[in-house]
Amino acid sequence: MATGICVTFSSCKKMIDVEPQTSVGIANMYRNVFDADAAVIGVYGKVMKLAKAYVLMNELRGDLMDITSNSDANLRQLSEHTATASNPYIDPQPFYEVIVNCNDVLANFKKMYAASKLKDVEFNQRYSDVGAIRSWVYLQLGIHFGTIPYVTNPVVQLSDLKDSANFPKVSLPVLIDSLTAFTEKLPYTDDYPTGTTLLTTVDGYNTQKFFINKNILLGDLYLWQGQYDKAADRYKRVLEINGPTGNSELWYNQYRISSFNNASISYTRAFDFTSLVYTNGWRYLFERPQADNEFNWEMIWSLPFDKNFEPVNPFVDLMSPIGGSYQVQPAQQAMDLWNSQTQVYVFTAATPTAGEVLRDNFPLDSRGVFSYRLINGKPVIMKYLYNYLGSTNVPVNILQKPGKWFLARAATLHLHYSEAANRAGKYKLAYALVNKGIGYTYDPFPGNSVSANRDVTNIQQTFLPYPYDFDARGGQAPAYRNTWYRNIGIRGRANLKPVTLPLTDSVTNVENMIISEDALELAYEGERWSDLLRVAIRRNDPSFIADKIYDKLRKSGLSAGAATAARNKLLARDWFLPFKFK
Amino acid sequence: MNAATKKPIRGVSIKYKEIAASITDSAGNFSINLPVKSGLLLLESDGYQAKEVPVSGSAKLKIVMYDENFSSPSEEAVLPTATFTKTVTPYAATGININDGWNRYGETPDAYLQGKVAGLNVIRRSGTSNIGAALFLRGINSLYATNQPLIIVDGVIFDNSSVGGSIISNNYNNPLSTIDVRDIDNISVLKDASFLYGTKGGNGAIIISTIRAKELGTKIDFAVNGGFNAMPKNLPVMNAADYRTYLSEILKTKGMSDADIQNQPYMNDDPANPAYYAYHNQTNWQDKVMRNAYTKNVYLKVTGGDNIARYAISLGFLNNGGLTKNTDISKYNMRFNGDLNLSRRMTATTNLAFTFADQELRDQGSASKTNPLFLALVKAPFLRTNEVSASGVESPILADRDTLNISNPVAITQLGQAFNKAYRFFGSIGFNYTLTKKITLSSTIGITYSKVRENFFVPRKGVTTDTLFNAIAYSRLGTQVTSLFSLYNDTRLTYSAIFKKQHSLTARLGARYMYAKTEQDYGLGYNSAIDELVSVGNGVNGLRKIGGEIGQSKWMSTYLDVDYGYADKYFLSANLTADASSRFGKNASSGVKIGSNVFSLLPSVAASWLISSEKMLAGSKIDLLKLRASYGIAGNDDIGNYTAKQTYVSQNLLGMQGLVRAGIANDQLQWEAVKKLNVGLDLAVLKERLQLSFDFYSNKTDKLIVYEQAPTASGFDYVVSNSGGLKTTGLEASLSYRILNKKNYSWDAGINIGKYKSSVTRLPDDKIITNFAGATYITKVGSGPNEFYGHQANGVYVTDAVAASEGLSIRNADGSLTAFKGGDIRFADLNSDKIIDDNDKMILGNPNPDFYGSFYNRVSYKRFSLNALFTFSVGNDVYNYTRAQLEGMSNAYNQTDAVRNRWRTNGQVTDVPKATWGDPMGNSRFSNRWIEDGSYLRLRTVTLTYDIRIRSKFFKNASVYASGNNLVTFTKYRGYDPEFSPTESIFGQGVDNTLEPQVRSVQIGFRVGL
Repeated sequence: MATGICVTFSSCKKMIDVEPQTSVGIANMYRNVFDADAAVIGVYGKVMKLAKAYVLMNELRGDLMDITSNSDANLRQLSEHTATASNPYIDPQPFYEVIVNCNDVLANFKKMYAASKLKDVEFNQRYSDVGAIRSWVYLQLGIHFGTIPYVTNPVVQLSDLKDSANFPKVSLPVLIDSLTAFTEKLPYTDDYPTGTTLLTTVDGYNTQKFFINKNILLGDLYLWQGQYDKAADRYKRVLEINGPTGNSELWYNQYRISSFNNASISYTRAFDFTSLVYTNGWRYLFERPQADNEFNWEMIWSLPFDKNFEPVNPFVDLMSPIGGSYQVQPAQQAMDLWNSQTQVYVFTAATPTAGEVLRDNFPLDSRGVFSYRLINGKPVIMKYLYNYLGSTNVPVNILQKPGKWFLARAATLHLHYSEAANRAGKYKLAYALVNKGIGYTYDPFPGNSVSANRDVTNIQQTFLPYPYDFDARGGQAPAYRNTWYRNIGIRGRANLKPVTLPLTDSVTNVENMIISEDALELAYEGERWSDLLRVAIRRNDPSFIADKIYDKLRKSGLSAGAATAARNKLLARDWFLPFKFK
Repeated sequence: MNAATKKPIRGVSIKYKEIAASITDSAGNFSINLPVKSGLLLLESDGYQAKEVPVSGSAKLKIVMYDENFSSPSEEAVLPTATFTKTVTPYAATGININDGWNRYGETPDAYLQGKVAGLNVIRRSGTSNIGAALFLRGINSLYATNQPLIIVDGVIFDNSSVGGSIISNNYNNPLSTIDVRDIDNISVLKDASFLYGTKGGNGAIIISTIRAKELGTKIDFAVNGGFNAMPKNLPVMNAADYRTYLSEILKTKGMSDADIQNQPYMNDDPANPAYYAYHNQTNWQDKVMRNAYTKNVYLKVTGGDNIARYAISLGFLNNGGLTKNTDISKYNMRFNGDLNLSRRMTATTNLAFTFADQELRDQGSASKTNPLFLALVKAPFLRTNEVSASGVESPILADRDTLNISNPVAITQLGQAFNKAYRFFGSIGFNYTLTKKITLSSTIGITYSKVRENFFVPRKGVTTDTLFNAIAYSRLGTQVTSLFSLYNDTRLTYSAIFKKQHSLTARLGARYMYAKTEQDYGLGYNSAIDELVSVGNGVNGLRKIGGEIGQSKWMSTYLDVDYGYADKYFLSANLTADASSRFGKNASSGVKIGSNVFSLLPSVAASWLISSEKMLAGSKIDLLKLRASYGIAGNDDIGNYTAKQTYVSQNLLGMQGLVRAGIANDQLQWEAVKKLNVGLDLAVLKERLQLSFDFYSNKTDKLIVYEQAPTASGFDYVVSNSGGLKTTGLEASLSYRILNKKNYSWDAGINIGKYKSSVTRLPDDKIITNFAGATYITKVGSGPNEFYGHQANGVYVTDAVAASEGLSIRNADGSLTAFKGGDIRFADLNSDKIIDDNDKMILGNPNPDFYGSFYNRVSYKRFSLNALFTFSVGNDVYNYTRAQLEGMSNAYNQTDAVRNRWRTNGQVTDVPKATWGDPMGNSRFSNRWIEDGSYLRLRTVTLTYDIRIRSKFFKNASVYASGNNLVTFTKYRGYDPEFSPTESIFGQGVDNTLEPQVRSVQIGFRVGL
């Protein structure tokens, strides 16, 4: 009967089908490169929603961030390593929301490519970007949850949900191998080149730094895997992303921890630590407008929160006592670490007076001064609040919460590269990058100015094969500047005394130094837990992570009672969060 | 003969199908030659109720006939395909005698139906005019899809959903309000006969037929009415003195010192203090926002025509003042219906209707900053509406929001605005073409277009601010336009024949097609420069928000329907529908795939046995005895326009718009399938004076739409699937009795009553928890679909020591425990872990009534008649959200007088806990403290009519009447009124979130016929 009726009309399908109008049906979704761009933007829109969980899981579980008296029981669980699966801060669902979109995009990009709706280069760039995001999200899930469902099919229909083959569970080592295998096959690992439709300026933001750096992701994956040469190779590609042709300011400064990039800790008066420069310098890296040169030279991957658009910057509520609810604070352990450093004003060659020596060797790291600040007597994590609170602790508008999420910057890159180089046996190189730079370290008479009339032909370089080759020559006779000549090292940029290392067991000592420097430089940027866990697994030494967490909790005014239990748990290699399956 | 006067009636037409006919003579006698041994005779006469009489063999019959007001078992019910008398239909279908519609002009058809039909539970949404009622025909069949019956007006499906909801809080754009009750000829309620609407028939159907000219002569009816709506009794909130005591106490628990409290302006009793007059008043805020209001109405109806064309025209105007000050509605409606005889074989009908309503409203419900009624309850009584000088001279300027941060309700009623302008056009044309004697082709095409434009303005003066994610909202502005367009066609071939004079057979093969498009566009703005700038465009640019939704659906239903009758004793109906819809998934599991579309195949069968036509009952005292049974499957296609599809929605990255997956698609998504079983019995005795109908039914919904929890690794929280099951069984009975039947007076009384019980039979997850206005509902297998779920309160701890000895605590957000103390509520610790938390919740009640219904009395004496309709609902539980706010004692809201008895010191025995700012112990949490019995018995309408004796030839008839609505209500419920329905969803029924209550109204009117 029904068919009978249908035959009398020209097309039954047309009679019945409707296309959604305020959403987009699959038929109208993946048609051309602009649709592909919309898909990529959609994925990044979803990534933005991970910011809070990313920072909390990586930092509050680590040794640098602590709860406050405002924290709820769930944050406390996270800090004390007693979280249960129902803890809302560790819900894996938003991560999988990114993944389901990535899977959908990847599968459909392949179809578009097969149907010639995307050109080779368009497909390669976008497919690789989204593929890398998926790997990055999975790496995060693996680090935190250990064994997780590894979904790679686009789960479209309810019937796909019921098929357990779509949800295989894999452990962290297997996951890392799978992610590496997938990611290294991505057809395009560079940044989007100029002229790509996705590179634009929107609402005053250049989109260039919105996208994940695939080489750094690969470097990290190799670092987890223990393939140090491959890791160093990937990092090195980013370190030297510019040069030696093109704009020399870019190839001297970009990602090179350069003495010229206005990112140093500095003072306006000699031997006077009250003259610490607030703007420019290292602190200003976290406040800088997204468009300026120095931002571009340091930041590799950063997503902004804007006052006019959702999602609302989650860090204000989390960290600020003004306009927020101040739920996390710097751990005493972190503050102790900064205060155990020696800040110097000048690398003076002349002989200072005794008083000057005292004032020039102040027991702190000014990066600590800028990483947290006392507001009403309470330590407040500041890196995320500079766009909101400003120097006077008074928000311009208490309800407008601009800010940034820092996912990778030059310092991260240098430290990770150093970690790889060290494990690859290049201790001195690692030491150089972390301390006072290549030129200084590979110079028999360090400290001479570039303009000093010296022949540097055979110094200031590593003389190592790729990817460990660095040339930092900067001399006058003959006049010569290589791309690394401005490199001053992580600690050099912070005007800290270089670390003095014992001569035994260089690998471990240099690695310890790097992990310690990770804390000082990158605190609260979401690197900590993965740094600690990676090394603990690599060394097969759970005490490496357990003792650090123990120290944090022990020194915490709020969680001291939980220190031993947490240590024992971590010593038993119980590192992972419970996974909420439904 | 006439049943009352016992006098013979002349000129009654007597018919047996189209086969034999006769007419009574002046002595009331007739004879008719029946070609068959038994059958039903149809008797009709002007001024009398039509009647069907069974005949078997050759017999002498003595038949009495009743006046038109008598409710007869031969009353007509309009079924989807044809009009039947109740005598012969195998279905549970009720036709409604709508004679009293003239006195009920102010009501919408849905509200009018209250108490009219056994099994139809009509719950008026609120006392706001035009807002209508939620209709539950035989209880609950669905959790998330609609539970409202399908509405058909003049053969066309009437889209009765409110597009996109209202931007005015708790307002409802009621499409049925566009039909004037007086424009209705007949309403038939199909409890099971809705099978013919296939996947739209799951909740039964209500078929409305509008006015048609029944005779050729021109007939004019004109009515004019006026009335008065009375304010309800005020709720007993505290006076200024009691409130001040309460306030100082609660502020102290906030941490304010005695000195700080004494420094507050309202505590300073020195008349020399400049703020003295602003804070020392005794304001009855309820009187400031509510009022008595007037209503007026004019209506004209003209019918007439000739052999070729007949017409029925109506015009109406109504103005009704709302309970809240400055609210009212003006409504204009027009209808033009025509019947045309185009040729010997072809007839046509046309319907045109247009309605325009212009209504001014205010926010209602859970809008604590802008609902004037709520604000009037909680506003400090010592404040005043206007600013006042230090010497006590009142300024014409309204007072701003107060120091306690509560809006001035009068600022909302005076300076605020909320308008709703609704238009609806309906037009249809139907053709009927007789192909052969037995076969007819008919087709109806209907078009509906409706548009609702709303705007609101919340002034900055006098109103508490809102916080947006990036700004403070002082003034708030909004506008919305929603529209609906629908196109409907129903075309069918009808074969109708009588074989061997005893077998009647009618078969229909047809198809229905419906296309509907809805659109909603809204804009919200904030912070216009001054309160005189009230339109959205004046808001701050960066804060403006726009949004909307466009929904489209297409539905095609093919149907085959057969009615067979033998000897007017045995009746059988069967039908089969096959529907395709844009909403169904491509792989819907229980359908049949034809081409690329899935068709539902839903069969039904119904049979009845008219026992009173059997020989054995011939001449007995039983006038009518009929057994009915029906069984079949109908569907519910309210499953979302695009739920089955894989769709993408926009996702911003700063100001860039990307696209992301909307969710998990479900290509197996299908209609909910409602398996309906009905068994019924109809009985009439004492010459039909006593009539009884009884029905038992069981509705089982399979493939119930549920939001099923999705695994975390899917990336989504839930997926919509057909994975639930629900069962509703019920009984209903109606009884009517003409107690007295004399020449000058008669007395009719009747009762109808319905009862149902629903239980969930299948869910994919353990339970579903739903929240509405602070109420929590639980849905789980084995219990009802929407039961209240919360804590049990067992009084108040008399002393700290008693509390300590029980040792109960709550867990704070930071994980620490706080112990209950004296003056806290003693909650039941169901799992005995000494901690009161979610694990101690239990079922507290159920918003569904144990039984519901109505009874009526109609007494006429000479030219007077008195009609009274009582409605009742028994055993329905209500969450009194309003009282939870008024006795929660957690903030500066004024409270009811009950809290004067609050706990203050150790040893005090009371059932009211202590007042604490912010209620840290959760004493006012959702518990049985706020659950009340919502049972009520109400004198719903009462009407006294006097027919004026007319001697003029010009006037045909005239009457005056007085009527009252909601005059008396018996209830223990402590809110304004026990009847309300704040949402369409079953999760929200029984929650009194401070809506405008029903008003008591009286009207007088005059009606004249020319």
